[in-house]
Amino acid sequence: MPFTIITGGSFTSTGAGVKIPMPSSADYFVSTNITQMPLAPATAVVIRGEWYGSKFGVGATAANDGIRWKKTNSTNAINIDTFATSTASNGFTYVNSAPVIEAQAANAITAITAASPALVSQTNTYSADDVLYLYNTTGMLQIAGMPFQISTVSGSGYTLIGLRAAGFAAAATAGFTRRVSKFNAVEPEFLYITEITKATQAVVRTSVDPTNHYVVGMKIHFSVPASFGMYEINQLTGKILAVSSANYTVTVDIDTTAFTTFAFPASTASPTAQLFATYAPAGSSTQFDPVTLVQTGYDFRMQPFRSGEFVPYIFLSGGAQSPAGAAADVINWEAFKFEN
Amino acid sequence: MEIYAKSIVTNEQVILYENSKTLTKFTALLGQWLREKEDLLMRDLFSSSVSYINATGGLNGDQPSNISLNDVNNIENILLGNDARSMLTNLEASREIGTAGVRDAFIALANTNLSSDLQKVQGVLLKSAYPTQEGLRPEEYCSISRFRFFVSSKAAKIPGVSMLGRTVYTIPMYGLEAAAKIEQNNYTAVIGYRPPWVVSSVAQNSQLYAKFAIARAITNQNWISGLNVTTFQPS
Repeated sequence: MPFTIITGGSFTSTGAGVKIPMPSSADYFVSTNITQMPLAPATAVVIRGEWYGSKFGVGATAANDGIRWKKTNSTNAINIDTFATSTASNGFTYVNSAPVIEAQAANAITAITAASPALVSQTNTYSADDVLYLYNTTGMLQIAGMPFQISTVSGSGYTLIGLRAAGFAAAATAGFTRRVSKFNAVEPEFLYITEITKATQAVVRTSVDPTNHYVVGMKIHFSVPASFGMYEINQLTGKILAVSSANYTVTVDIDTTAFTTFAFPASTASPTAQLFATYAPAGSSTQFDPVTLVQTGYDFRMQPFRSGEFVPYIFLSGGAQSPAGAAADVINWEAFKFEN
Repeated sequence: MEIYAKSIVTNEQVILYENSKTLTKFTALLGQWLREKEDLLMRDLFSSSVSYINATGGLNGDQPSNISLNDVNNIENILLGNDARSMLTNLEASREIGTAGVRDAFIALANTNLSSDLQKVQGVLLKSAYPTQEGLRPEEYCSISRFRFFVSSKAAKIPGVSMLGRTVYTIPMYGLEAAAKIEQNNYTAVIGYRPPWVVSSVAQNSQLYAKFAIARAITNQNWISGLNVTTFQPS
């Protein structure tokens, strides 16, 4: 009999999705909700999920799917179907490539306000700090194809701290989202710029929280097409002087006072307006003050160019009807790797 | 600095009957993995830490659009404006019918799904029309403007994120010394063998392994740029 490698573990759910690294990859994966197993919950709670990898060919599990074992409402009887079966719930997604997309069905947006910050209306199961690609954003096509980090999340919408859309001509009336991993394969990753102030030390806002990627002292290189106005900053390199996770901003040592005002092109200019304005890492700038004996600009954990998102991993969606369970549920998991 | 490794366990029965052939085959496979992994790691660096500009000169109605000559020329302008130096020397014209000289060039790395679109770009010179085929890599596809395009099925792509929800392909385009793969002395790549009496308590299984250390870096962002593109036919 050939070898089979088995590994496993346990976690207490927060109700959110859980990412489990699979350094040796996986062919088969099982999750078991130990907390709900002896109970008779009212809402078809999932107590076990199974996932089959590409080794199983036509029997492999599709993205965001898998086999779900669920309790019949308020009894101990078990029903078995797939996460995609009506009433569908989120299942497993195995991610083995970079850049990392947690492939899920596109989720429709009903509105994005032209406000600062912009508010998105969407029925969703996302969590705070998730990163979503927005596309087909009718009325706001100038942001279509950009990733945004979300906050203040409810089941009906969330806030985009990184998008101050008060200057936009109109709100978006439709669109779609796809969730991606918070980190790219290599960090720091390039970030999408949504605003640059005109100041002696420019403040640059991005669509995601830059403090997850950059620290004070790092250098960044700007790529800003003329369609965004402030073309003078294009191809310049600056040093980060301050970072803010509250505002998704970095302050750089570039004087933009006399530059053209930064502004998104109009939605009507898509798809011909050149997009996007971005900055990318250009190394570190470490300083040591011999008087104060203070070193700045160096953070061992954040140095460029470090590994970002580890792949492969398996993503267990959160929620009572999903493999990662509801808050306080204890989930056991096992992963199997076959030799042939 | 990061260390990557891969190992293969060989069962005793294989060792008894076909040891040398098996070890030779898997040594070759590990060597292939080693170089392919290096390529994938550099791909990840380029796709993560470089600014890309959306192509807009194509006619597929998407943002980014399919690739066009204007988009390629725009990247050339950026690299030349930043004093980037070309990577490949020119190929002098010859008397071969249907061929033309190729200028010294920067490098562009594209996904194989873009090959049909590359053929349609204005001014494209397919590899077969180069004045010589000597020294060309199999994966080279064509020359457009000041860039020579190399294609791979493993090249970066992000599914479903264009304006219309189609797959976006990133094409890193760069000059000399824009990026670096830093290796440690005497640790660049190691392929080793561990005999059964080391691997197994009953001397049943032997092991082959490969490992290497690498550090990746963009050494100068001025000398690297690139395009986001979609395909003319949705993919």
